[in-house]
Amino acid sequence: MLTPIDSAVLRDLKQGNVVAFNILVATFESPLFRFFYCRDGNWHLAEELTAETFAQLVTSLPGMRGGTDQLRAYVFSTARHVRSRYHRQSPPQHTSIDSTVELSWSGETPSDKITQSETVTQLLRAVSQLDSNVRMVILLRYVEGFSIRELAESLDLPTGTIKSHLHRGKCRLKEILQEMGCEL
Amino acid sequence: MSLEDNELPTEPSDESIRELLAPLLELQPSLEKQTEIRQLVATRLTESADKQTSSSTVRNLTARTLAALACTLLTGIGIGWMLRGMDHRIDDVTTTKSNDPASEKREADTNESENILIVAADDPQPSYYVTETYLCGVGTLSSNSGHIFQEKKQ
Repeated sequence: MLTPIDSAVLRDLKQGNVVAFNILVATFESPLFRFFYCRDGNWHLAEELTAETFAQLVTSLPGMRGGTDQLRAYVFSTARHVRSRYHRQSPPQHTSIDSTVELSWSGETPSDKITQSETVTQLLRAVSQLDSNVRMVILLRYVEGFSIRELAESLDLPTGTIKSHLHRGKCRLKEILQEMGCEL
Repeated sequence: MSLEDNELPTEPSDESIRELLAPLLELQPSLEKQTEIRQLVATRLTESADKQTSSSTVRNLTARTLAALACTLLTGIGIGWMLRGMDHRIDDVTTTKSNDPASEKREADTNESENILIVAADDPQPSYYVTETYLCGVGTLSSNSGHIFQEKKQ
């Protein structure tokens, strides 16, 4: 779950304060990384896009309208634009999440976390079978704890569509997990 | 139709989905990348601050240059206007003299003896004169010019 940023930190962020930006990075680096990784399935690209999103936020945050309630949606909306811009310049390659996760986790995870790594790989395999928009709605809602309104603002989708994606995603995820032999 | 066919697919509860996906929270960028991100942000912030400072300096310089140019222009216009006003006053005096019948008569009378427009008697060259009427903001209304010859008195 994300740590909320209060209005004083937000004011400092808009003034370009380094300490405030360190708080922003600490709060959002993992959620943004998961957003990109679950979307494209490319570990290195996800890291690059996360860094690029923060670089973009340095420029754009001083002009942000709204308070702390809008910050999370603003950050993820920026992330979505950064990803779109990247893929306009270099079209996405179809990478399988499975192989990337195994590669990424094999070198960086300690041996006592292998089981956990396998669980994550299994989960990602299941989630990757969802439609990309449905997948993002499910992940942002149930992993990052977004509200319906935040989802609508971040993904630029109507709330009705978000609710429909949520329902469809949960049912589909249940089916996928049953096919994989897991019970929900 | 069986009872099972009529049942809508039941969606799992939000809590169970949340618990199921919780291990995904372990996904995070490598420590090296986390350090890189912080360095990148610090660099961008410094660049942004420098850019803001330089752009404000340029803005100040531009404003001062523009103000100086405006002052020069206004001074120039003022001086030009003053000089033009002086010309008008001289021309007005001349026009009054040439248009006034009384003064014409006086001139004619004087011509017989001494004319103010006539050059000195010992000047061998004929005198040239121009009379113009200006109206402020419009320009020349009428113009009259000619040579004045002086009869040599025997």
